[in-house]
Amino acid sequence: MTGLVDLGDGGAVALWVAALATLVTWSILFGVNRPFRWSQRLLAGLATGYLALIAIREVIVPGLVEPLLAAPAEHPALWIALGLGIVLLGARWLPPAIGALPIAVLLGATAAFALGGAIVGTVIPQLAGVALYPSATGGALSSGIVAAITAVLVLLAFVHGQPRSRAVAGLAGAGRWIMLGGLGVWLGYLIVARLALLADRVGFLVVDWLGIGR
Amino acid sequence: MTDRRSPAIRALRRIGPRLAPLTLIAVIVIGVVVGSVGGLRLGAPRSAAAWAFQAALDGAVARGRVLVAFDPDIGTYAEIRPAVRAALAQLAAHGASLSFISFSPEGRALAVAELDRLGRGSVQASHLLDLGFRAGAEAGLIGAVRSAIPDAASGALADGLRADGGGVAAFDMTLVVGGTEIGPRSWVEQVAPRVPQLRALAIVPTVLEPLAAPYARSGQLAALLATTRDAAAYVDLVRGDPTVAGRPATTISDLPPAALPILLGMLLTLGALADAIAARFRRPTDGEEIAA
Amino acid sequence: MRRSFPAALLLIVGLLLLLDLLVANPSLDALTGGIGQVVVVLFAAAALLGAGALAARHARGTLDPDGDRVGSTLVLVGMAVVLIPGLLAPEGASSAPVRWVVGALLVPIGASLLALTAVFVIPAARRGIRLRGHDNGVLLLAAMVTIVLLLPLGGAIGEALASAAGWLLQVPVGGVFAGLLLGLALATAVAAARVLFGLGGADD
Repeated sequence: MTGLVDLGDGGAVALWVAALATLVTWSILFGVNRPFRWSQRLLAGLATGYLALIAIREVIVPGLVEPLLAAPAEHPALWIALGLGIVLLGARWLPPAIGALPIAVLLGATAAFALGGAIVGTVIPQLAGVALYPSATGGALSSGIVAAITAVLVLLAFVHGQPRSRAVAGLAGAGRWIMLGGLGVWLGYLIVARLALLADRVGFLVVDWLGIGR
Repeated sequence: MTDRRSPAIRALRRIGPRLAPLTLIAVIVIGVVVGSVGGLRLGAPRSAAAWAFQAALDGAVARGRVLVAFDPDIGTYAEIRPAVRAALAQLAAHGASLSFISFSPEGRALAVAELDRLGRGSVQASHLLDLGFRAGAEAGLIGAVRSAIPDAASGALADGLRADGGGVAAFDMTLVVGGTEIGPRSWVEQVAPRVPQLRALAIVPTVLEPLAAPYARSGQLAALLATTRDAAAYVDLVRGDPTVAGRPATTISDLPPAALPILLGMLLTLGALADAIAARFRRPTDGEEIAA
Repeated sequence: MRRSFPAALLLIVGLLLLLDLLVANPSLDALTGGIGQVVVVLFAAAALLGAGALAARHARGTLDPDGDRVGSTLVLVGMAVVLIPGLLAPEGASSAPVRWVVGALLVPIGASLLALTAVFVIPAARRGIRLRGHDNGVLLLAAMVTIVLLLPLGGAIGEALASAAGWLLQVPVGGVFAGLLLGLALATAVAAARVLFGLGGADD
């Protein structure tokens, strides 16, 4: 079936429910806003419920509760996690200096992962990638030159707001227009991709649900 | 200023923008009902990305233990689903084992469905492993580098992976099915510096092409499918795959949408975009002002 | 510079994790492994906190005569139809009732919403070009050229168009994306360093 997931044994009812959910969501096309808003609310509830479910069943229970119950002395880090987790859940009733502790751990870890990953995983390898290979010839060399010049101009445009000379400002301006053109090309690809999504959903309604052209 | 165009044209200009969405749906419905038409193909002809992806999945490491990092978004999964299923089918045909892990809730929801589908299909249970969900995004990824196999996982595959350290390094290859939350960028930034020998391939929706393509060009990703047409071309390649050169026959159950509805939608969108640009240079009538 | 205890904790956690990326040391590895466990549990707790806050807000919304009572009820119903069977069934998120809800409701609604973006590109383009004419004009013209190159035609014309589209994406646009990615990575690194080291008033 062209539906997104196989619906298993409860297929017939699920097919109807999925089709009706699709139609309710698309009610906005007919200028009917309220059912569209309701489908968004239902989606928010379902997604949040799913997030809470896997947080409990696949993280908290197997990763915290079960190890602590099985061997409490072997998991000092999990006791700290439990304490900070309780502080996080009760932060609104605690003094700010204590309530901020789990946030500090989360922020410190997130910032370290972002900083380390960006430098080691992206900046250094990508700078090496932008550099031209001396062994390249002909079409590969000219393509490499075009790509490298484009990347440098776009990078100049990206680092905006810094004081710079008129020549650099001019190059950054050119980089900005090139960036817009590049984003336009990407938009073109994106529109085609979204049309494919739309065709998939229409196919689900017409072929799977209504049985036309099956 | 008085608009000197005919009332019919003025009326069309006024209601046109309002009818455009419904017209788009209508032409796509027509395209879906008509179905396949000769002379059209969604898959890009001679797609280098599709060839490279198929070749990478024919490699020796793709016959071993493959970690499927499954984090697509619910909204865009339909775009990459045929390519993802074709890749899983190609791997299964090679006898690879497939271990699913997710770092985003949406990815986990879809992974459960895919595992269920694969389990009911041709993949042996001993070749499938559910590694579950890891919270914490990047923190979860780095945690999986240390230990990816949950305590509850059992069977020969899980035991073998544990014997080899139990982390991401115990796998021969990673297939990253990416989404907005976790995708190839997170893998390249967080996992590759820690497990540099692990070969990673990725399938992402078009919206993530700008964030994934530079990694494929720099060689940090072994292969990448990131546009609808390359993904469709890859499915075509796998479907038309003759059993030659040791490549086993691969059964494909899920096909990309037909080309006709997308072509009709593209033509209508082109017309509407051209009209939007032209509207910039013509003085709007009162009706158009209201419609806008 | 005065530093509070949470700010110092933030710095210590961040520096230890950064050091672990650069130095291979078993003791440091064990320490950062423990920090990783704490962070994962905290993310899960934060998710539960968010879910609880949403549920509480909409529980109040169901009683508010001026609010969207149906909408609030639907949020709570949505949460309940996933949570109740998922918590009761031994398989949790993999149980048949949860898979049914995901397949019949969550995925179709999510996919239908995203599919609507294809429909609303046209009005958005009209509005965009009215607001920022030149910028959006360049954007839309480039998009139109690309759509023409992507027309799903077979035969020699289709091959020529696809090859031009491939070159466009690979070479000039590839350069644009490489520049954007580098810029994004540098911006991320700078922002992360400011958070870690408490620069620019991010102290406490």
